[in-house]
Amino acid sequence: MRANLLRAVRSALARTRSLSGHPDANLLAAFAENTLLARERAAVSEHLADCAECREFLALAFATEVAEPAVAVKPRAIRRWRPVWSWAATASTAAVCIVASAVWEFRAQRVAPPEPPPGPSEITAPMPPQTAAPVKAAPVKAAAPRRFTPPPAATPGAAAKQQEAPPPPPALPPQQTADALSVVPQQVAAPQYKQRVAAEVAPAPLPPPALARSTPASIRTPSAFGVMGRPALARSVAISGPPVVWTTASGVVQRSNDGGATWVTVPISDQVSFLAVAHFGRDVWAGGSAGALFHSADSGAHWERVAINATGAVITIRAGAKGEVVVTTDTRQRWLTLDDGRTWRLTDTPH
Amino acid sequence: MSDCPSYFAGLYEESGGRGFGLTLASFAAILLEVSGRYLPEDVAAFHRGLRLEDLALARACAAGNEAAWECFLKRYRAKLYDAAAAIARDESVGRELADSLYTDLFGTRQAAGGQRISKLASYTGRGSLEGWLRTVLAQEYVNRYRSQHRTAAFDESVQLAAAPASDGAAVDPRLEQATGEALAELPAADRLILAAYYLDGRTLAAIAHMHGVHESTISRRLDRLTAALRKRIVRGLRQRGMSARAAEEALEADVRDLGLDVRGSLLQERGAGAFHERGGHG
Repeated sequence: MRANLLRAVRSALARTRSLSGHPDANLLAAFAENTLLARERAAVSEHLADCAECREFLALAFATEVAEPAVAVKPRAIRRWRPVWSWAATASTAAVCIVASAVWEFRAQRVAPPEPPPGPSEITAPMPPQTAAPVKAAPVKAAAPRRFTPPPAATPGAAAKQQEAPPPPPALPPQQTADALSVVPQQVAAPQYKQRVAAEVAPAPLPPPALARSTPASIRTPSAFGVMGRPALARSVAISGPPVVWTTASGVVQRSNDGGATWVTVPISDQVSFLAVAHFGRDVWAGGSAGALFHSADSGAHWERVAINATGAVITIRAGAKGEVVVTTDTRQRWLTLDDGRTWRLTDTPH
Repeated sequence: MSDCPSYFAGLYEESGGRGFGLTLASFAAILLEVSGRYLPEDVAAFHRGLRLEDLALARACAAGNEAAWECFLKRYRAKLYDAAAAIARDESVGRELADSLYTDLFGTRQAAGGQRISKLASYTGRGSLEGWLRTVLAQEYVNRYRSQHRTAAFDESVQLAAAPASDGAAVDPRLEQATGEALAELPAADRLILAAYYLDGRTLAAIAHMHGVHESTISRRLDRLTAALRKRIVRGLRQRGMSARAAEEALEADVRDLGLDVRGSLLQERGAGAFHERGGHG
């Protein structure tokens, strides 16, 4: 019985796979976004109902934002959605928010004058993986259920709202800000950076002026200890200001020290049309035409050409922790170093 | 209408293709190529329904326009890597996946004339460029990383389907027939939801994302669907000589016990016609 069933199932699946055509990525995406014409949607539905592979594509592409794993489960075990519970959850959340807000206001009115923190209390708080860089925020009170806030300087016009606050500390030299950065998309434009940071901001009062870990204590201001004016306790973070952003444009490498508001061209080589740049800390890597790859160990002040014998143009570079750098060329070569570029090995070849 | 230059001029201006080096003539050619591929009844409405900005950007990138590439990178590079990591559920695999797709988007193959062939040239603007990128990533992931595991996964699913038989509880052939009949009468959209839920084991939220609707919509639809399916199966069983009580007993008390029957029926070939669109995945 079981063997027969297995044969029948395999046979059925084999016949299903013999369908002569599948909807392409355009139609699958349009299906998920409800932008197909009615007859097209019916046709795609008809196909999807019988094609497990296309359903898999669709689920991977559009359902992966869902935290629940897409594994086979017994239907009965699945918790069903019920409107009544949704309303109850909304109501209880609102009640909790109202009570918390009242308590917060009450405590804010009784706040003591600001005092300096008892000791070193700044820690680096990395942002979620999708963000461009870990941001340091000024120390805030540990008990405050507040998310990280961006430095006012990152948002044009925000300074105007901070008229009563003391002026922010001078801009950090690149070496300091670069230390606060992690791997991740180095070519993030200013609007994206602002959007991402804004997404992390709770609807809370504006943050105090930015302070970096290396900022002298003498320029610290009371407002730097949190919006409540209290010394920071366990959960204290420091903002280092807008990140240094690198990009390539028109074949040259450009750098912004103010989160993308202004850009300067970084001269490396006139002979190379640069297509990719990446950095990790003070190490910056730039590559482009004819397999050219350059490295700077001092945030772009000095550059050295790196010989990796790559064919084609370097089109992506990924720099990570522990000296790991991955370089991809348009000939599908993939070069890897694990020792800051001293030795390279080819991990992928054209096929 | 589509022969009128002013018609294309409006769409061209809307697309912003001028900023990426596309000419009116080249953009009109792109629109005609896209509509020629899908053969819509109302070409003008079809063109207006396209994601013109995304289409212009993608085609300009494919043509090698540098401004378009810069714009593409700013808009989609981070999204591409995030989506790849989410699809692969592994950051390093996701990076490799995104790198690989990026290479294809840049264009590594060369046409006879020496021009690069970019995968972006196959984007037609039917859905958003981001959605298309996610779908292409998913296809690449399945093709590149999961194909070697497909046999194992398939065996597991087959064992699940075979579970009732191995328990010794033989399914009444009349129930199988009635279930198959009831499913065959359902519209494809309904069968798709049932297949995703009972066969693929997707959650309601995941199915909702696949359809671009809210989870509650899928929940209500699935409730209605299983109730209606149950009625149809009972009717089919009675037509095959079962008493009302026997039919109810065959289904047991809870409609969700239909799960395995539905699974089994959905695993059978549905005799679906081939999809009209040529070109296959990707």
